[in-house]
Amino acid sequence: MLPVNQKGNYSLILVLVLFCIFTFIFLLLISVGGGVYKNTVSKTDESYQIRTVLSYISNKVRYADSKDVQLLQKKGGNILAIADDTTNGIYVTYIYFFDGSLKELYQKKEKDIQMDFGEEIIKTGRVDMQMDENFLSIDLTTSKGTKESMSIFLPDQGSKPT
Amino acid sequence: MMKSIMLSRSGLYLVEFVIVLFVLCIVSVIVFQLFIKGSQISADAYDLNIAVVRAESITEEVLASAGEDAILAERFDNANGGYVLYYDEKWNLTDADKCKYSALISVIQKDFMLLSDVSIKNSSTVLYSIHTERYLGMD
Repeated sequence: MLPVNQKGNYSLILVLVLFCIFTFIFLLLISVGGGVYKNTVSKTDESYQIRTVLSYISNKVRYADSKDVQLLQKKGGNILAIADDTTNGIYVTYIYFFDGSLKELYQKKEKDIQMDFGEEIIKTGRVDMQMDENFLSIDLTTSKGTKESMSIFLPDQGSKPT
Repeated sequence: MMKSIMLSRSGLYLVEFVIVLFVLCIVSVIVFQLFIKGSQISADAYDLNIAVVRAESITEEVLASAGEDAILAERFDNANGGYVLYYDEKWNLTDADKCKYSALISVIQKDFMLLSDVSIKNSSTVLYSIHTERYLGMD
């Protein structure tokens, strides 16, 4: 039979052991939760970039008459130009990748393109566009490095890249 | 008397801790299951997103081909009267034996219409499918 004092000590050690187990489970839960959350946010962000960039460009192209769609070759990368014949003259929507973002610029056709004047659509890794016969190919590299591409059929593509 | 009070106090702490630990274990099991479920939903959402992009892209290529077998056969593999593409777990093109996802493409010409069905599947379920029709003209 253990003396009462020693029993108290054992109880104290047991409480400490249980406290350690409690702390370990708690930390494990937080660390796993943090990992899952980080992974979820990363995947969601990647999905958001892929969906936004590809949907935005494809919807803009599909909305326009395909003969009004052109790809302009510029130093920093290609610029997608979608012409719009309005009562005030021809306006052009330029969509391009510049300074880590996909940007859009809407202005009169005669005006020079000021790349940094464009409205930022989304920050992403890189966007390359190629036009091959009746196809517009969009190649996206997300900020995490994932590559995704999309082809858009331009049935009445009459204009050639300039 | 004092000793018995001290003993009963540490005994109470012990009982309290055991109960807390028991509750924590139960909560942990539930929370871990939620984490796994959340992670799975996130992965499924990503796959669905990629499936939509791939299906749209394939559909555009099918419509552009105007149903010509030579063009389609150049771009896709033949399978069971249709066409197919295989993807690995990172959505890169691969062979049939290493695939995790596949795109099944069916192209039918009916009168002046080109009908196409594109289905993106994983091993068990259809992730996304598109049916499109294009008028080919009377020439």
